[in-house]
Amino acid sequence: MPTFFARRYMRRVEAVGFVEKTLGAVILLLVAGIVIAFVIEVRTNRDYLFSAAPPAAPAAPSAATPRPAAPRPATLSPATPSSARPDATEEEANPFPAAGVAGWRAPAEAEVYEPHALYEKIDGQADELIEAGCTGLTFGTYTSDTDATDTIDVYWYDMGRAEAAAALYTFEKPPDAPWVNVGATGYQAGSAVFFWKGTSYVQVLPSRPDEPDAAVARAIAEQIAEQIKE
Amino acid sequence: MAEQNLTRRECLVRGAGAVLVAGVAAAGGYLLHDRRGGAAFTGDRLTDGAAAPPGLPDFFAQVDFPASSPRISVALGDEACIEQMVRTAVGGLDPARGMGRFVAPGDVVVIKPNVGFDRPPYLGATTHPEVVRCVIRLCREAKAREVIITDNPIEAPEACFAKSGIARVVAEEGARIVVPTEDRFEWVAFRPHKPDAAKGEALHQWPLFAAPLRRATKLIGIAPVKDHNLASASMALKNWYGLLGGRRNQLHQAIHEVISDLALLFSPTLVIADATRVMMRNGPTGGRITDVKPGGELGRPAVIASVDPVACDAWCYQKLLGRDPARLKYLELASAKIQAVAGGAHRFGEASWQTYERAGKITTASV
Amino acid sequence: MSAVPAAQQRPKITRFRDSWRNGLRITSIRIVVQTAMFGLFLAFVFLNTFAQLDRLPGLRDWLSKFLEIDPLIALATALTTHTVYRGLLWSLVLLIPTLFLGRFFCGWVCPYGTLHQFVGWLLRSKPGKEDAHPNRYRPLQHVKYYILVAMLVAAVFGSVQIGLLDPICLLFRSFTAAVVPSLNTAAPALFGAPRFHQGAWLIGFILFGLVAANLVYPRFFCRVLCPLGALLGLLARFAWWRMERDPDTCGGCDRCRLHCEGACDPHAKLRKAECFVCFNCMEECPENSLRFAFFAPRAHEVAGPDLQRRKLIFAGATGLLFYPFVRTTGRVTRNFASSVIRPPGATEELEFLERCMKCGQCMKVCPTNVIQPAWFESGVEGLWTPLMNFRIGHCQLNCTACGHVCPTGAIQRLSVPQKLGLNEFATQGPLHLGTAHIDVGRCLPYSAGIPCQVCEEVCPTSPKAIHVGRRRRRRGRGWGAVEADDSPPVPVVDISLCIGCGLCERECPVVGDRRAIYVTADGETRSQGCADRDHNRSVRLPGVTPAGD
Repeated sequence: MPTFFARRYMRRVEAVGFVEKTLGAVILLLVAGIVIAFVIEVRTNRDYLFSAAPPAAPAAPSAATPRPAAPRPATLSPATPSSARPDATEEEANPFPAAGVAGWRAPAEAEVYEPHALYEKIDGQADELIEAGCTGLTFGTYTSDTDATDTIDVYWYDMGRAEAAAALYTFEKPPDAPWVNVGATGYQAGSAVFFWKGTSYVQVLPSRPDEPDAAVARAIAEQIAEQIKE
Repeated sequence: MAEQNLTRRECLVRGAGAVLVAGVAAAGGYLLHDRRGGAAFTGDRLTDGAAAPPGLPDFFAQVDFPASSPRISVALGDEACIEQMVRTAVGGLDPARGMGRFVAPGDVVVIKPNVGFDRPPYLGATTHPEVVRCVIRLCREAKAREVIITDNPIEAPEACFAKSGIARVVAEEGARIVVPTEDRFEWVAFRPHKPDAAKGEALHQWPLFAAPLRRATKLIGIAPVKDHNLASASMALKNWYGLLGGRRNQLHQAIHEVISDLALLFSPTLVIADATRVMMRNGPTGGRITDVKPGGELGRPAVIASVDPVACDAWCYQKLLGRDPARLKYLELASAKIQAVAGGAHRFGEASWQTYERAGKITTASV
Repeated sequence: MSAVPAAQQRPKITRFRDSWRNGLRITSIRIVVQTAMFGLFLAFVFLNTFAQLDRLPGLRDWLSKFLEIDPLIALATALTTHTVYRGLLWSLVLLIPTLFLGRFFCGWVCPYGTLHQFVGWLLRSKPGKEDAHPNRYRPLQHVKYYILVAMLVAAVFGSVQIGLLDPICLLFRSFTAAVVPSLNTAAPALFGAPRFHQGAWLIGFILFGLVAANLVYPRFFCRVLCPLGALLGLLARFAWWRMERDPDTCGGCDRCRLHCEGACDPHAKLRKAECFVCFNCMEECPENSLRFAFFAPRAHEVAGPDLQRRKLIFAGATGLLFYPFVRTTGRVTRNFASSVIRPPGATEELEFLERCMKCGQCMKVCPTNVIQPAWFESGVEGLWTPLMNFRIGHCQLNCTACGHVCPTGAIQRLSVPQKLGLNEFATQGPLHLGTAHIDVGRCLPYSAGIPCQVCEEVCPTSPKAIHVGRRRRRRGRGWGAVEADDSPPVPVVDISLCIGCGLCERECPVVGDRRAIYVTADGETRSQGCADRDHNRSVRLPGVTPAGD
C-alpha cells in the first residue's frame, strides 16, 4: 500500500522547479508563523476573563459561586464553607488564639457559617439553634503535634444575646455534669468542655474521651473564654 | 500558441474583476464592521444610551390660557340637552372665545373618547356619542382643518366604535375615525432614563397608538367617569391608557404608576369629563343599568371641561363617585411628576380640587 | 489510453523515504499544510473549555478563528444584521486570496475537506486498480450552488440557515456534540467525564453519513453539498491563476483525473469553480503538461458553473418561501415557548436567529454542559441553536465563556460584572436568563409536608432569590383546634431577585424531566422592550417590584 506521501508515479525531481520549491518553503513558513503566533499570543495575553473578575462589591454574589470545574457545586462541600460571611476579614475569620496550647496546633483557618448555612455543619440541630437566635457558628479544629488523628473540635456559637447563650447552655447541660471554671459558667462531660460567656456558647469536643485530652480541652476553653468579652 | 487567445483587453477585464470584488468586499466589510460587538446588544432596550424613540408633543403649549381663568368648568343639565351642557362647560373656561381659546383655525384636532368596550352607550362604559358630536361641532366652529376621532379599544375596534354609537355621530358630522392597525403603533419614550420605582415611575418606553397624534396639533380627551376595579376610577387620566399598545394588561401590575406616567406623557389641549351616565360600580365594563347613575352623586347629568386633568379627576372622584381623592394614589403621583418635570411651568397638575375652589377657579353652571 | 510509454519510464516510488527525498514538491507541502490546519482545528476544539479559557484568556480570539475566516458566515450575517461582527472581518483573509488563486481553501485549509480527503484516501478501492471514473465532473455538483442561493435568500429575510451545511459550523458542531463526547465515553480517564447533548445521535449520524459517502462518491459533501465551496467557487471565476493544461503536449492519458479532488475536468476545459487547487493533476501528469498558470487563456476554462435559470429561480423561491413558512408559525413571536432560555448575553430572539450559526462553540465551552442543541423549541429555524437545559447543568455566576467564543455575536461578549450587575453596571442590574417557578403540586414541603429546602440552600444570588416561608396550618378539629406552626417551611421565589441561573432546578431532589422548581424564560432581560414577545416581561415590569404595593 502506498504511503500518504508517495504515489505510484510522481514527477521527476527535476520537474519540481525553483519557483515551486520557493513557494512551498514560503507557505510552510507562513503556516509555522500562524502556529507560532497562536502559541505566543495565547501564552502572553493575561487579560483575565473570569478568575480575577468579580470584585468585592456590596452587591457581589455570595461565595456560593460553584467552582468552575467542580462536578458539584461547592455549596455542598463542607470543606469550603460556602456561606462564609462575605464581609469576614482574615482576622474575623479565624478568632482562635494562635498561640494554642503546648503540643497542639491551633486551627489554621476557621469555618464560619451564617444561620442559613448552619445545616451544612449541624444539619439536624440547625433549626433549633436558629429558633434560639443563633447568629453564626465559628468552627475550628486543634490538632495534636504528636498524633495527627488526635483532634479537638471547637464549636463556637454566637447566640446574639447573652440570655440566649445562657438559655442554650442551661438547656443542654446534663444535671450532674461537673462544674469547671471557664467563662461565665461551664461544665465538663467526659473529656468535652462546654461553657458560655457573653453572647457566646462554646463546645470543645476532643476526639479522645480520656484525661490528657480533657486537660487540653479545658486549657483551650480557658484560652477562648479569655478572647470573649462579657 | 494558446496564450494568443487572451487579448490585452481580456487581461485587463479579468484582472479588474478580482480587484473590484476584493475592493467591494473589503470596503463593505470595513463599513459594516461592528468593532465593539455588543453595540448591537439591544436585548435590553432600557439600557441607557440606546437610541431613544421620541416622546409626544405638548398639545397645551400652543394654548394661551390666562392664569386668572377658571380651570374646571362644570355644566349641569339633563340628557336631552347634552349639546348645551358641552357648550356651557367649554364656555365656562373662556366665556368670550369658548372653544376658540383652544382650537385655532387650521388645527388638526384629535379627539380621544373612551371606546374601550363593545357596549351600548346607555351602560356608561363608553363616552356618550352626543358629547363627542358636540365637541366635533365646536372644533369645526373654531375652524379646525381636520377632526380625527381615535381610540385603541380592547375588543375589535370597528365593533366598539359602532356599538358605542360614536361611529354614527362621527359619520353624521363628517369627521374621521382612525382605527388602530399595527403600523400605526410606535415606541414612545416616557422618560429618558430608566424608571425609578422609588419615585413611582413605571414606564421607560412603550408602544403607543401614536400615528394620529403625530399629525395632530391639538388633542382633546373625552372621558366617561366610571368606577374601575383596579385603578378605583377611570376618568380623564385613565383615558390615555386607551392609546397604549403592546400587552398593556401587564401594566395592571403597577396601575397607579402607569396612569401617573401617562399623565406626565400626555399634555392635552383640553379634557372633558362626561358625567351624563356615571358607572358607580362594577367598572370598567359594568353591564348593568343599575350600576349607572346619571350625574353620579351629583344627581344631575353633568359635563366637566378642564385644562387640568389631575384636578378634574380629583373633582370628579369626589363629587361624582363620592370618594376621597386624597386616597387615590395616581392623582398624587401624577401631580408630583408633572410639577417635577414641568417645573410648575404652563402645565397644570393640581391634585387637590379644593385649592382651585378656594382660588375661585371652578365655575358651575346649570343648563 | 491507459498505457502511456512515457509513464512507464518514470521512477516508481513507493516508499516514504524516497518521497521525502523528493523535497518541496507542492503536493507534499499541501499535505503538511492540511495536517497543520487540521491540527489547529483539533487544538481549537480541545482547548475550547472554560478551564483553558480561564487559564489562557488569549484563546478567546482564536478558538473561533476557522469560523471567523469563513466568508459565508460573514456574508450571511451581514445580510441579516447589516453588520460584520468583530472577528468576522477576518473572512477577508480567505476571501481576497480566493479571488486570485481560486478555491484553495477547499484543498488546503478546510478541516472538513481534509477529513474527507483523508477518509477518501483510506477507503479508496484496491490500490492497484486505477479508476478515474469517480472523479469525473457530474452535473449534480450544481446542487451546492442552489443550496447557497436558497440559504442566502432566506438570510436576506432574517433567517440564517447557512450553519446547517457550512462545513466549519457542521464540523465544530459535530465535534462538540458527537465526536468529543464519544471520546469521553470511550476514555473518560483521558478526556474527562462524558457530556450530554440533546439529539447528539442525529448530529453524529449526519457526520458519519457524510464521511461514509466518500465510499461511493469521493468528496460527496465538498463537491455536491458544501455552500461555502459554492461561494468560493463563484469567487474563483475571477482568479488570476489556475491550472492550465497545454493541449499541445498533453497525451490525453486522463491520468490527471486519477486523484482529482474537485472533479474539475483538468483533462479538458478546467472548471474553475470546482477546482480545489490540490495540484494532484500536476503531480500525476506524465507529460508535465499541467502547470499553475497566470492569466491562462479563457478558451481553456469554464469560468463559472453553468447554472440553469429555472433551477436558480426555484432555489430562490425556496429561500423566499422558507421565511414566511417558518415565521408564520409564530414560534418566535406570539407563540413563543417559555422553554427557550438562551445563554447569558444572547440577543433578542429575532436578532438571535439572524446571528446564530449553530456551530456549537458555546456548548463546547460551557463548564456545566447546560447549553444544549435545540430541537424545534423555537421553531424549525432554531434547530441546533443553543438552549439552556437546567436538568443537565446551570449557568455559573462568574462565567460568560459562551459569549467570548461566539463568532457572530448571537451571544454577545459580556464581562462578569456586566452579567451580574456589579460596579458600573449596578444601575442596570444583573442579567436575567429567566425566572424560577415552584410546582407546588410536586414540591415536597408544599405537597407532602416533607421538609426540603435544597433550592433555598443552593440559590447563589445575594440576597437569595429563594427564601423560606412558613405556612400556618390548623391542628386538631373543632373546639380543640389550634393554629400551629408545625408544617415544614416552604421555599418561595422572589421573582425580582431571581436571575434564572437554574441551579435550583438542577439540584431539586424531585427528579425527572420536570423538577419541582423549574426555570422559564419569563422575565428574561433580552426580551425586555420587544413588543412581539413582551409577554416574557409579564412578571417583571421595568422599575416596578411586583411584590410591592
